[in-house]
Amino acid sequence: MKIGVVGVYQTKFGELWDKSLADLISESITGCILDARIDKSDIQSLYIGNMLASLGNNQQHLSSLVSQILNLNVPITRVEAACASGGMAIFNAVNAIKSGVVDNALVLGVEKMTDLDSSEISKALMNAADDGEFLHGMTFPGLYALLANKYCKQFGLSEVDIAKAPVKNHYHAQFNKKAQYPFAITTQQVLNSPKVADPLKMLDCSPITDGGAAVFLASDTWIHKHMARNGVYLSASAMASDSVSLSNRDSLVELKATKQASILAYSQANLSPKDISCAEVHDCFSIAEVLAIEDLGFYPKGDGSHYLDRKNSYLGGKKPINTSGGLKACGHPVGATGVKQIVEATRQLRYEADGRQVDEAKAVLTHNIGGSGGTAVVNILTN
Amino acid sequence: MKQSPAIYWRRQQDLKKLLNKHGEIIAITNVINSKHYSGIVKIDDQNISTSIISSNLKPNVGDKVVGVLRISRKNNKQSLIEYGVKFKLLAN
Repeated sequence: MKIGVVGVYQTKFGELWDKSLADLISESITGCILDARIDKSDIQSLYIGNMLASLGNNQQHLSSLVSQILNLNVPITRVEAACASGGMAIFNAVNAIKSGVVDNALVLGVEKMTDLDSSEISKALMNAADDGEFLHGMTFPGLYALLANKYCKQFGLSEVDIAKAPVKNHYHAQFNKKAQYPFAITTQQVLNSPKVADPLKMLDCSPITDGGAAVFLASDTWIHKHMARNGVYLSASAMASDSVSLSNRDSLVELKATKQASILAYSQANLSPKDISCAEVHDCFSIAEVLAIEDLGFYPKGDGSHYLDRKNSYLGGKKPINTSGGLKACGHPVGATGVKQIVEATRQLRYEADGRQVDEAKAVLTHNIGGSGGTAVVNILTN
Repeated sequence: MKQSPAIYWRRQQDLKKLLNKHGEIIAITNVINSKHYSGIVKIDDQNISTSIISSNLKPNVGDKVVGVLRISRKNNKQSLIEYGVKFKLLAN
């Protein structure tokens, strides 16, 4: 069975003081329905990717809230997998359609983060880490700093090498009106920004973001029957897991869950890394993008940062990475990120990406990570 | 993080397994505004996430450490003082 991406929508990402969680839900779903050219009554099921509504918005019963907003009574499921909640919602919706239980599903990713202050949001995000890591003063920048230190030491690299990721992603964000930070930065600005956790600086880290995204998926049978919008297909959706604690991992220079999910995804799509035109990868911190492009099989281990250049990973390069601006510059509303990646991939495959369009995009990979690598979801979209 | 006397009590059961144990730092960082370094220490064949304390030297990967009893936190709702094991840098 082929699964089509019929409609997509992304809200503006940023510090959206004038929008509530309900506003973001409503705008995302309405925008997606309009893009899909369907009626609300066509929706057979909904999946919601969200991590923090119970901690930040006093709302744990999101399925019911969405039912109220839409005035719909179809099955609605909230999926939580930390920052991979959006990707996991996609994965679950795909499996529901493949199983034949439903013919279509609307997937919503949404997060309202800025109602919490920075201390509260740091604590809330640490619910995605191991209890012992929290007890010993760790934060997520701290956990990724451990990975960065280990990686740089093992491969003889420095903070300058990994800083190439945020510089590239900010360059791409200039061409994305929905991005939180649509402006360029320099390597020197990254290196001069305040230190957060050695060796990571503020501009190595993705921001706190409000935002929502939605996609409408349907079986090819349903698409043909309803003469719905088609042309983009989710050719693979795979996920893998690993220990919640970094200290229990086999290696600190790779994320095993990414490697395993990508192997499954390439197999499902019958494609290899060289077939991927461009990718949206999980750059929550600069080191995360370097690990991702290696673990996804694009580049050899230890060499990833050398390919974050104009010839390879920038727009116009051989394999552009994070044309949306990534988590760093487009923003990271945690539960929405995995769904936003599908929106960007679809825009690329529809040739609707305006100033950031990748030439002849044929296969786009999305990669969404939960925690410090405890969950990984890899999707491949084709046209 | 949820705190309760029962949680503290359960954690205490494991303290003696780490006290006075010698290990080696395999990854380390310093989170801004934190009093200690944070890292991963290898003890026997096990890796653990922990705080690393050092009075004046900057700890590095490969340095030897030993488990010592220290206050973990005390400003909690129950006014209980929680102790835990942190790792202290050993002199070369």
